[in-house]
Amino acid sequence: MPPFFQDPRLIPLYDKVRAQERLNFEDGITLYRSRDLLGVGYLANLVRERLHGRRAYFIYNQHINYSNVCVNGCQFCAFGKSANDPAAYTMSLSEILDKVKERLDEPISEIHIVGGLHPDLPFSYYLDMLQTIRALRPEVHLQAFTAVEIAHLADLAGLSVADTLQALKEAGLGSLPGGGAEVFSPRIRSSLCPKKLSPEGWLGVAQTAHRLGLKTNATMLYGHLETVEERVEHLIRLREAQDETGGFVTFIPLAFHPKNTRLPDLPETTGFDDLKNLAVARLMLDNFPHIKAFWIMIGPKLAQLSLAFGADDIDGTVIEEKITHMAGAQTPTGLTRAQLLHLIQEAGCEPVERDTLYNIIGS
Amino acid sequence: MNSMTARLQAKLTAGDRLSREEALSLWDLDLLTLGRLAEQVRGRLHPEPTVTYVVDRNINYTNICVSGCRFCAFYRPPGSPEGFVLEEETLSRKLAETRELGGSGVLLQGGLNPDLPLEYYEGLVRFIRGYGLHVHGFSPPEIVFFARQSGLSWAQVLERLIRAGLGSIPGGGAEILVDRVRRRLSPHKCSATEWLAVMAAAHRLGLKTTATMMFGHLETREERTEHLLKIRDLQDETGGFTAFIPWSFQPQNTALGGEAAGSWDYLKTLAISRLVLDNVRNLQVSWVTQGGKIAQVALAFGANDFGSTMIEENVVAAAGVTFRLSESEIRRLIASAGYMAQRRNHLYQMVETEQGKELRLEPLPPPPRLELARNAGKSGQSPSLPKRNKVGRGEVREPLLPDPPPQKPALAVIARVGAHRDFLAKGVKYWGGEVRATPFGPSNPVHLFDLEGQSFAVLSRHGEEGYQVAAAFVNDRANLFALKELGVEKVLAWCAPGAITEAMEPGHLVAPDDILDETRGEPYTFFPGRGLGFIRQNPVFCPEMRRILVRILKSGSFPFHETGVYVATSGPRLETPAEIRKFRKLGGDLVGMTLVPEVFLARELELCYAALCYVVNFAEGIKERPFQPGVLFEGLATPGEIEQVQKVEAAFAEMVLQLLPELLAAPRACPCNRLMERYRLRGDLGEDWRTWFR
Repeated sequence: MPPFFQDPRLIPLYDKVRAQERLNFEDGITLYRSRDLLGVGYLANLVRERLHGRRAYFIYNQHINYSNVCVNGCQFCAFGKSANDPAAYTMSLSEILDKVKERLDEPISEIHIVGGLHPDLPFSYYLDMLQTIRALRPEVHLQAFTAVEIAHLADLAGLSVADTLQALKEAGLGSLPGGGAEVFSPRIRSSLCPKKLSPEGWLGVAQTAHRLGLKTNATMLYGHLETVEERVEHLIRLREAQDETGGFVTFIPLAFHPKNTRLPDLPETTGFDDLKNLAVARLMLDNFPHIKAFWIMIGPKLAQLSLAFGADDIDGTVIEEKITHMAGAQTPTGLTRAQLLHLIQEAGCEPVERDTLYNIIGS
Repeated sequence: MNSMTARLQAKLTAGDRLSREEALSLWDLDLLTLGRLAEQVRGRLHPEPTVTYVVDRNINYTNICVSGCRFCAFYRPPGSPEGFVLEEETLSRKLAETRELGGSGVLLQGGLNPDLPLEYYEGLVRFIRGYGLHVHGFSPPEIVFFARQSGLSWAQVLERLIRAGLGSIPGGGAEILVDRVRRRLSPHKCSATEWLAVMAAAHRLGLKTTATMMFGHLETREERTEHLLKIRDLQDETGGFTAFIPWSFQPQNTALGGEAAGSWDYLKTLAISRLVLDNVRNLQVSWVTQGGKIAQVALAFGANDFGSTMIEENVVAAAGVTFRLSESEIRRLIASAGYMAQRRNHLYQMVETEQGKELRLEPLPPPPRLELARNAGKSGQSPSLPKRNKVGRGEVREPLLPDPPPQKPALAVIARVGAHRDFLAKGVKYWGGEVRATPFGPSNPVHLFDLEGQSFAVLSRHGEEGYQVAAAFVNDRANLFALKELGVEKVLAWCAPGAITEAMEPGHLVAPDDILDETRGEPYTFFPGRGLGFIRQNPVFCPEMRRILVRILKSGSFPFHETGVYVATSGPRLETPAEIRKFRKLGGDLVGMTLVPEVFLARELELCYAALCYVVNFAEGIKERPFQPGVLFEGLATPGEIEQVQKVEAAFAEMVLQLLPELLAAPRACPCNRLMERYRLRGDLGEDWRTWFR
């Protein structure tokens, strides 16, 4: 007997999911349009539990945003600045190293490095960055530079994407983060971020990385001007690329935040929407191992809930206990490990600390 | 779905109550299953996909508090430099702003401040009422504190506040209704029993209240369940809770500290509340503590109300939790979850049409004046009249009260929603309305009028502000007891049946002369199981009153039928065509849900009772009327018919005033006032009717 769906259109999808059949475009639309949040969540959770049981992964990582100077000027971005903006900054290599040194005694498994497309920094800056960090913390995995930055670096270096990636890999690059995908629809690209690397370019970089043995992540920015159809198309394109080269590890839906962007009048995403995007991603991306809820964007409460709606990974800055007592209770920039564990356990999940490649560190 | 879930689902689908063991077992279910079950219950209670909310403001009159609860970040002890008592100027500003922003009322709460006398609170309430705002104020801990400070009983404190204009009571101070937890969390605050008893007293005085639960601190899941069961039990007795609001403790800046419960715990608790509290209509999300995202998701877990727009909120904010949502934000969250947003007032009545057009907020009626029924044995004390409200600014809608009525109201008209206003509109002299406490619960408000030196009473069966209580659930016994106690001897029942006989068209008047009782299972006697009440029902209506109705109305301006058989059904559903065919075969002319058991109960009290009906529609199957969703009667009456009906309704007060002098003057030569004589003679019943009830 099938479980009780309020929306009868989910019932054929239930059969498909149980038979592990791939969902098509119409199925994706049905899922997004359905008012039956619990029904959609139930379906996503079936897949999640089949793949990961009740495990909830988290990683102890450090973020370095080396520069906010960016030539792209995407309308949905609150981070990028032009070079002469007073709020623009670029970290020197020693500043970057200081940042790494600050947290040397913490059990960090990954350093996550992203920044804007700086017009003047030479390729050597990036190579040096990776090399010196690796020298300082050889055991830490470096997940650095989105496909957008990689394409930019290839230009700087005058190399092919493949050779650029190879050079970075030799300098210590471990994997690529998933940003810069936004929404692949040409309509969105041309209206919101015309200067950005095209979808074909983005997918090309990702697949080249896969062929070189590098794992990468993927994202989708939702909650701005995109339609439900465009979302589903985006997911299907990612799925097809994964079929070909198989190197995507984690998909992260990113909730658009209007403040300080050039789309300030758009409303914030709703909880329904956040959970739907996670669930639909889990159901459509049948060949992606992991779906991540980024709690810094949707809040810890919703991220916890997302564990029942298809997400198996929670990401966001984790702070070690000794820093907590200096910072007081929960700071706006991080959760303590204890808080994160409590969050996961209250959701009836088994917290599993992982490294970048989902090797289990501890639990 | 496993068998336990299937069993629970079957029970819930049948509308059956969960036992204590079943309630405890709910905690073992997974989140989505709980949500699904809760959604089903919500759907049964609220079939329309509507989510309500209110526009109001939380005003805290003081933060000085001697309770010192360990979970509270808001209070300051007496003498603290951060302590405050709200000044009139600040209050005025807040109230004016609230009205400007379209607020319908104020949630008024504060710390237990030993320097404020009861008169302060009375004045505060009157002041707010002067702005035409509803006062949803205080809480059991405050009431207990006021009583202790003033040396009065809780009921006395409540009565005084009601007289000052208190409209309803929020459910605060409940935390967890288990003393083990209360002793450790808030030892200086009222106990669980006291909280429940104050609410019971409030309900019996006619006040609606909400109930709350703050969880996620020291309590166990069993204790949370205990809390829910206690609320459920009290609701069974009094029916006075309008809504339940659970939320999680916010630890920052409190003595207790710790971690806030996560969304999982919150949603589970919310869903379980919906499943256990089968007798509390509304379940509210707490966006104040959970934020808009979780609150919206909570709509899929059994909640149907979004709380308040909170033009101001200070208590939770003191714990560093400062979510804010505007009215348009709330409406957007509701709509994007697939529901219809509907504004309501503090009594959970709708104040907005479904098309989103605002009904003009009616100026609030004068607050009900209160008089408790005195002990059985004392009789004939007239209600004490409150003084006129002192107001600062704003409107007050209260008539200047004349001297007490010269005599008791010998006749009562029991009629439709807000009937008394029709008489007010005609300028009939008015003494005010009272809710009367009776052995059967509080009556509906009884309004006293004077017509050339003769008093009469008007009572609305279904509620004052809109159709609140369906016919099947009107408390006839309380209403009739209250009327008789006031001195009423004759009852004219105005009602609106459907017509089985085609000649009785919508807009026609009928004075029925007989009844076919097709009701089921309502309390139709004052004397269950006592071997009394074998009253002849021939004729069932007072012949003397009927003669007067016929004589006057047959030459009136509306088509009038001198006789008719009224078929009484239970409702609230309307009848099926087959049922109407049956009733027609049995000789029925009219069909309605109102007169029974009212007439039989009235006769047991030896009241003369006659009904004056006006037909509002043809009964099912008499005419071809396709279903039209969303409109009045769903298409059973045509617009032309509705127009005729409205003409009669508009003439209601005038007709009654025309009938009154003769009805009042009639000498009671009918058998009505001797219907229980045999039992008096036998000694089964005493001379004083008030001693008749066990």
